[in-house]
Amino acid sequence: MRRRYLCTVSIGIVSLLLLAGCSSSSKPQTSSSTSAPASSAALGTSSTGSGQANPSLAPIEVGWANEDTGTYAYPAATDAALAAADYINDDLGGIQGHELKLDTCVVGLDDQSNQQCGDQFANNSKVHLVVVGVALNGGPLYTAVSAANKPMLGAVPISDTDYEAPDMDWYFGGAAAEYEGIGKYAASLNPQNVSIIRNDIGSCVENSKLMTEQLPASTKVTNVAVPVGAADPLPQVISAKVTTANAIMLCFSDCQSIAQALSTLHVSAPVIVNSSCINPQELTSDPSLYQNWVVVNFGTQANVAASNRSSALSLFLTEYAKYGKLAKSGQLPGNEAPEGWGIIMTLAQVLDQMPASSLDDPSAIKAALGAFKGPVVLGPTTISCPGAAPYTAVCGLGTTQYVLKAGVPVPISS
Amino acid sequence: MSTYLQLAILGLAAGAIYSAIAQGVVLAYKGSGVVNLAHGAMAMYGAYVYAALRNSGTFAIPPLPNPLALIDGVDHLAGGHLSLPSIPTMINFGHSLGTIPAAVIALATAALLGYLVHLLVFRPLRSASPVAKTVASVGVTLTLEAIVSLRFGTDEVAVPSLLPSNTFKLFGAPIPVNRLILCGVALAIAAGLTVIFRYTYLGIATKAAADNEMGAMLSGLSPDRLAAANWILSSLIAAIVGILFSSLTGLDPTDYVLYIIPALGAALVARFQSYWIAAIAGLLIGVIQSMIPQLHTDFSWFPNTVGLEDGVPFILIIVAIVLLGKRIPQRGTLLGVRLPSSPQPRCALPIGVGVTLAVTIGLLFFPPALRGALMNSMSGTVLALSFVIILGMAGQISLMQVAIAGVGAILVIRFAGSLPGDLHIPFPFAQILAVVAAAVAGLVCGLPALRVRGIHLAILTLAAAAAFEALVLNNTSILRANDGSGALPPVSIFGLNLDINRHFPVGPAGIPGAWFGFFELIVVDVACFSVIRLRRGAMGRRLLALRSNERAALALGVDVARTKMYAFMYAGLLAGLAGVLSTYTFTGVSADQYSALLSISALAIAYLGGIATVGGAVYAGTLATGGLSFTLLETYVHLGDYQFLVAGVGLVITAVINPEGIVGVMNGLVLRLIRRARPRSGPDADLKPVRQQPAVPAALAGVES
Repeated sequence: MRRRYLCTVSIGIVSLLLLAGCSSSSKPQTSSSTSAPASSAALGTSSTGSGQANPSLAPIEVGWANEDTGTYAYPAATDAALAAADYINDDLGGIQGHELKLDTCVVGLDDQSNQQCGDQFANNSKVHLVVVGVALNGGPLYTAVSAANKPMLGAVPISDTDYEAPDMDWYFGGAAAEYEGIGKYAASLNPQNVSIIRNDIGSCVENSKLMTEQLPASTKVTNVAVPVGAADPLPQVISAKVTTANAIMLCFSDCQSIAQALSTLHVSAPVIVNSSCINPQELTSDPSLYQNWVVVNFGTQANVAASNRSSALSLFLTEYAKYGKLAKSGQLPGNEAPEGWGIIMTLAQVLDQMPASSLDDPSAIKAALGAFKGPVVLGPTTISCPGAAPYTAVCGLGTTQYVLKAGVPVPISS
Repeated sequence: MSTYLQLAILGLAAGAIYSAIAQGVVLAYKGSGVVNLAHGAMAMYGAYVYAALRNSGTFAIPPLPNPLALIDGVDHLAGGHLSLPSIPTMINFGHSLGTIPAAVIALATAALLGYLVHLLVFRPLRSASPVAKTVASVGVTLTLEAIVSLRFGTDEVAVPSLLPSNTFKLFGAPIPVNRLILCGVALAIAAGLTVIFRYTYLGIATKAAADNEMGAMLSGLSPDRLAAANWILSSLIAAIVGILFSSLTGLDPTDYVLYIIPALGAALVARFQSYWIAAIAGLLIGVIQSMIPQLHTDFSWFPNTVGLEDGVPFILIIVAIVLLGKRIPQRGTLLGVRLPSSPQPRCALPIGVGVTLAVTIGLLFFPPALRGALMNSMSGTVLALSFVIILGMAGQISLMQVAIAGVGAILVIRFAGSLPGDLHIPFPFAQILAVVAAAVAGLVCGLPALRVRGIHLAILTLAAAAAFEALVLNNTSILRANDGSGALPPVSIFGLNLDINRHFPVGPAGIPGAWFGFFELIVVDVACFSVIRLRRGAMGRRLLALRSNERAALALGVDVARTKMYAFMYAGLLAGLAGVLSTYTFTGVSADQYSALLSISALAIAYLGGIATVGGAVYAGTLATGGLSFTLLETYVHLGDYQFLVAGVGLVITAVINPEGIVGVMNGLVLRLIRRARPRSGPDADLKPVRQQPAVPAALAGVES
């Protein structure tokens, strides 16, 4: 009898078997708030209100999709986006008095979760706009939302699917901007020999081409792939001829093992990387590994010294510490936190400037998003939508460069 | 030359990881007959415990159900604000621990983990089939990964090194000393295990119990205790490997899980018997991988394709295993694979009509989210059907069905896609061609099965899936970056647009629409009935004869080679069909849908649904990612961050309690209900025997006739 009962229970449990991609939509989280029209001097740009949003007005619901869990996870983007929404609702009077409500949905690497989030937003009549933080396999999401004729605003584009997504405007440059920027920075050093060390995946193949294209034709490039999850990348680092290189460019989601290999070989050439390569915790725990590395960022490094902070960054750090759940638990702002914050604050600014009667009109929202010229909060100062081919959905390709000194990014004035 | 020597020596470090994990796998296999896919995850867990103690002086407590949460919840429903204590997540020592106390605690935790894995998972499965044990080890892997993600996060963690960081020069090339030490550790493990198994009571008794368990018991040995001791030893070795090696490369929740694939290759070369061969094979894999980048840096003719480093070792493993294999199985080699019975389908037509009607109603009237889930379940069912044929009926453990589905998916984009370079072949020719090509791929990939069997075939096909992932899925010249969503135009039949997002005139509006669902339903029905027909026919009986005993089938005149190839081709066809359907559901294809690790998960799902029947495949379809069960639970039970953990634990529990799959339990329930509905004196003999019939005589009788 007991066995039969256990069998029955286990049938229930087994239906949870989500094995393969396992990730999917999560329960909606919403940001809270109350009363009166609002301002955004604090946004770093224009302003219109202050105080709390008006609870008697219907909230403006915005879909938010992000890769929060799984092999590659960017929960800081969602945390900062929710923090921004709370800040807007509590301190900036909401969007024209309306509370800004984020309907969150977690996407993974699998098609299913992306499609389910897309369907969820497409079928929700209250959602007129979807914002995407980071989606490594966002194709099914974009197709579903686009089929419902709803516009999409994106923070960090990663892949060709992102760059060419229909009905989408990415305000930050993402991977394309960073790798082009890495190549340009390396080219500015007039190197004779350059080593590219990259993950052995398709996107890094494309990114390494992009970096190589920025270099003078006379530069000799040694391009070596490291398998994903390689047990020890030192052999590949040696094959990349790093000891004779004048510059080293990396394409990795996490550079710790490469940093250790370069340190073992006492390499002195400048190492140029993108912003997601080094996570803040690693940098804090062993800053010497990354000494003098150059970080090319399409957005803003949150961990710069106080003297180098813009007012928008200072505001972000102050308010994120107040509203961000991860920040409250003592974590440093993750690499994607500034973009999560910046995209929602910028969206608020765009929506604030629209006629109130159009806030539920997807085509009007699409037009307003496309007409926005910047500056993006914690992002590019000017943008232009649509972008130039092949990055038609990317509106801003600007980057900033930092050099790491004792674990602290110092802006390069260039 | 000095560069190659340097690289060869450095490659020993990566090889040492594979080597040490491979030896742990061999140890678990010799000790308890389990091919432990969770060994890499066990190494990772020990390393995380050590890293947390060293870095922050914290010891993570795994997530446990809190009995007070129930009281909390009831109080909350009643409008109360009771806040009862929750189970702490960490024990904090207040300061980071030194190397020795941290290592001692981590090793003690590893020993406990090994014992618990034995006690709770593999001991109850002692007499279950090897496939059930493998499925359970997948569950253990998922559980440990989920615990690590919940307690330590997914970012890479730096681990304080136990090894010196100095280098020395060899022929002018710098060689870090720590790499050589790691290689030495791997060889020392091999030496230690060899000594233990040759000269100690534990080793000799384990060998005796492995050779003849009953005999060992009669001699006073306890196979259970021996297995427990071996699991503890295996887990300790895993933790030592994790602690030592992660200081070199950092630690994240996925890497060690991936190391299991080359490690399995090394264990397979050693035939799960010799620690030395496993050690040397693992080291060689590392050496080969380290040479490849330099080869295509130095020689322009050397192929520079994505995934070569990952792919080449697997291809070498496949070749080696096939060459080492035997065309005719030796005596005693066929006792390993015991599978659930595969009864003659009964009442197939009325059940099929009923299910079809139910799905039709669902497609028409379900809300869009569940409608989408139904469609995912249908393509999941077709993939599970391919496992029913290859494993459930033919007894061949293939872990490349997902990769073959990927072949169908990629080819249908090439044949019918709308991007430049695609062939724009019209419906249905493009789809048929893609499915036929997948069938051919299944046939070709099945050729090694003529010489390799059982769990060896499973690992070989896993290596093939890994090679496919490395060489094809990660290669943007084959699977283009823009082959994702939107690359495939919708199916159109006689002008009727079956776009996944097109609304059907009846039922709730929303995305996805039901048009494509109905098309998919027809295809799935045809696939199900073709498998039922196969099972009822002479070929089905031949397949079952092959599954039961290859030597006996051969002796009875069954053309074993032809029958095997037929099974691989048919299963390939169905897998390709699943890939095609899935590609239309998502209007494109992405690499993550067809990875090697998903092959293991897909087998686990198919097994749990019921590996030997069409009904089981239907249950499996509902369990697939994005399927009906999945979506219902996501909609009504918000698991949040705990979904991976619940999935892993659920898989383990189900594998332990229902090793024959859900379909067996459901059939039992149905039979019981029918019996209750009938008068007590009524004839119910016909309802009893299906699962009690010995499969071999029935199958052989069919062949003879």
